Amino acid sequence: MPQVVGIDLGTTNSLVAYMDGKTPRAIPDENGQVALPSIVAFLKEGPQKTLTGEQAKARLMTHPKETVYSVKRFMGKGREDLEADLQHLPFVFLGKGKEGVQIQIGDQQHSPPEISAHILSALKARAEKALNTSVTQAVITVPAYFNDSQRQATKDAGKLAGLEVLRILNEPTAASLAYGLQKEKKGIIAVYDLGGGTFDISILKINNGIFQVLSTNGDTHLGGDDFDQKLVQLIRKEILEKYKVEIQDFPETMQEARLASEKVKCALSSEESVDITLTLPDKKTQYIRRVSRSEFEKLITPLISRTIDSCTQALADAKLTPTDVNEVVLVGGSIRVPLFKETVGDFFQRQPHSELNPDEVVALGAAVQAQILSGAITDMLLLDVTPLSLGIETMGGVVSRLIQRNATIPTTAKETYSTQVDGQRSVSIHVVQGERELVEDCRSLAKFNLTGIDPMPAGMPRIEVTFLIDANGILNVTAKDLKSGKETTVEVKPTYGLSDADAEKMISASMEHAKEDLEKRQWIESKNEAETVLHHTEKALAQGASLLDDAEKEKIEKAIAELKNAISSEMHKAVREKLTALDQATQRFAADLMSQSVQEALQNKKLKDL
Amino acid sequence: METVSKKNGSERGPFFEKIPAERPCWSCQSEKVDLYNCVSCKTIQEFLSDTDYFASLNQGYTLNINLDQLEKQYYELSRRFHPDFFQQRPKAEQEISLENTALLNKAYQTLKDPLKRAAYLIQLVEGENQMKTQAPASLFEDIFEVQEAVEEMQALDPSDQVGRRKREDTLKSALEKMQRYQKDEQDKLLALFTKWDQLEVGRKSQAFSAAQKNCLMEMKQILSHTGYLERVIQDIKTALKS
Repeated sequence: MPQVVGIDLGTTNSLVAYMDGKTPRAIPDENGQVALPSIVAFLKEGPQKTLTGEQAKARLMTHPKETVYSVKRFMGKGREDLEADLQHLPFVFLGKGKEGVQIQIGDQQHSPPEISAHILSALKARAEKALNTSVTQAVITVPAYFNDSQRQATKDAGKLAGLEVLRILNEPTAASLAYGLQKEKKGIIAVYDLGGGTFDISILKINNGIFQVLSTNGDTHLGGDDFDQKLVQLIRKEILEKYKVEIQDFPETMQEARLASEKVKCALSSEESVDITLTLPDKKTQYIRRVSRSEFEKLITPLISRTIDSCTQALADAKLTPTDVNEVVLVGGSIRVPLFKETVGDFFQRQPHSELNPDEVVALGAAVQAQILSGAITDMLLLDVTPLSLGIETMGGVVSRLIQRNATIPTTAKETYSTQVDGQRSVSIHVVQGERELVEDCRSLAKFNLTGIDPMPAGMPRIEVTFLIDANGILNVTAKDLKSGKETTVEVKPTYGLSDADAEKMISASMEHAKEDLEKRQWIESKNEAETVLHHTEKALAQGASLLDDAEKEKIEKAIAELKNAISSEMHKAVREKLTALDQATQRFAADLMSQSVQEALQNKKLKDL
Repeated sequence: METVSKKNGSERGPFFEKIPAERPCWSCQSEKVDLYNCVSCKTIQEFLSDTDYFASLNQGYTLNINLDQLEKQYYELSRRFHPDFFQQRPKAEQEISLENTALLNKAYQTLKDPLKRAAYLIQLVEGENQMKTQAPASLFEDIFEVQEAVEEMQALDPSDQVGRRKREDTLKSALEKMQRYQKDEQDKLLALFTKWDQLEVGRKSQAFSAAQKNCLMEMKQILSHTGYLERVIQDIKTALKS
């Protein structure tokens, strides 16, 4: 029987695991190594010639421009999302604005999914050799906080590697599965997953084999790489001051600085202080500096605080407090930094544990999920959530939320659309992901065009659009013409976000910008509300004129005129005031109208009941 | 909408009886089909298009719900329908599994929260799509004061500590008052839940009674006020944090 494997496609390292009977096992290479460095080296000999893993890693310093690392950070990103990264990276990026990013190697261009596919192919080959069978299906893990485009890109990478991706699985959830398998667990667990490039926190309720995710939060741009970067920047500045050399202009030296920083970071997990050594671009001068653990900890404290903010938000979304959590599980290589264990332990007021190897546990969990999907395990079930709210653009650029973040997936939302002009043949729907109030501040996912609508007077067509987030956390859109019952064609134009529109930035920004948002939202809402009220009042005036005396009528008409004036002044406060005034002016009238219609309704009712 | 069901004669809720009569098993054509499965061939069945959240989780239309039981039911049905268990099955079954699970997920998330549960029932009975929120008249002045204080705070010079403190005090006292109001309204709502349940248990006809509808109207009023106020409270909290 062909084997379904679980793959942890990491920023720094990738792993493949399978189920050996009832035990998930990571598959080692011929040297006994389970972790494959997520590095792809392109050789000059030909476009298809690549090396991966340790062999590629060896070329990082000798061929920095042709050796790609941390490609996970670019998955599903547009060129403009990566501005901040570009200066640290030795590669040449192509693409403009929202275009998907491409990396230029020699005279070839490669997309991030293509590069990831090389890593996946290497793992596939490793598994096939070790298990002596063909491997065509896999579960691939992603950070829980990955958005739709990033998930889609990961799925594409699997396809490119010749794998049928049975499921895109969230990393912390995968870890919880591996944990849950160990012994019968029950209660609330928090999985704190800090990898090479991403951070996730998931809160789960485990009960009788059901693993229900209550909430998730994170930062897809925070991980061990960022700690290295803090050290690199420290070195860079000091060298610039002391030797007047900008090492950023020398890719080889930058790469050496990065690798040296990574080593120092790891050593500081057990040592109190470590020397960092670097040969300057002149190939003669040696830069040596002692880094103490406390100095390093000071550098990374802001990063740790960001992870704790995410934990706070996740708990709030799950309507829990830190002490409700029964167990805290640490996952990912970066949790070896002792300060994390301490900080997380303090936050949850509980000793976190990591019995399983934090580097392997995600791949092991993916293997368990693979077994569930192949039907061999029936007593375990994962109920996962979507990390970000999904909405559509409405009038005035305001987001109308269709699916809230932390909704259990699969989930659907339905909306009915019509046309605005006679004979209109297509309708465009703009779908965004994020927590902010305005479209421009959320991540644009795609524009969906409903086409082939039969020409009809405006407002006549009724097209029901279904937004489905499947069990992979990926959006699917279908449309049906409610009149004819036939499926309507949906054209998808995916977009790749805005310059500062990383998913996690949206959340933190939504806190920072809450004030501005509030103002804009208040104005838009007041205006909309005022227009609705005006419409209804004018309609009611026309219908219920008999209930009014002249004085009252005049009062209401004056209030209407004043409200209209306030709207054109674009002053939120004025609109509010005049709305209240109109409300007061119409109170008696509204009550009269109401009792009239209630009486009518009751009369109807009685007739019907008889 | 006058009724939720088309058939009469059930103590539990009207929809369970109509199902077998209205659709044979899509797979084996057997007439013996319950809400979830074909009795003969055991294949899963698609929910009818008008299956509501209460029905999907096999709940009557009562508002006081035992949450442990609801969770148990949700877990059981998830085990029955979740797409993870249909990966190796024919496409038709996969689609049913996906759609039913999506409905169950939404149903559980709605029914486990008392406010969402009540709002959903109102929407179901009235056939309205969206609940409108409205400021409670007794708090008009306070809401106005809050809006003023929030705006003034935004315009304030960052060094003006005294001015800031003054606005903060206004907001804090308004927050306290509003939270008290919310608590009182919630208690009223829970009392209405009990009233509704008594009426619902005693319901003989297939339509909801006028008393039940009045009860819903009262709930709607409360929800519309508390929903509005919840946003004001959030705004106050945001303003105090910034």
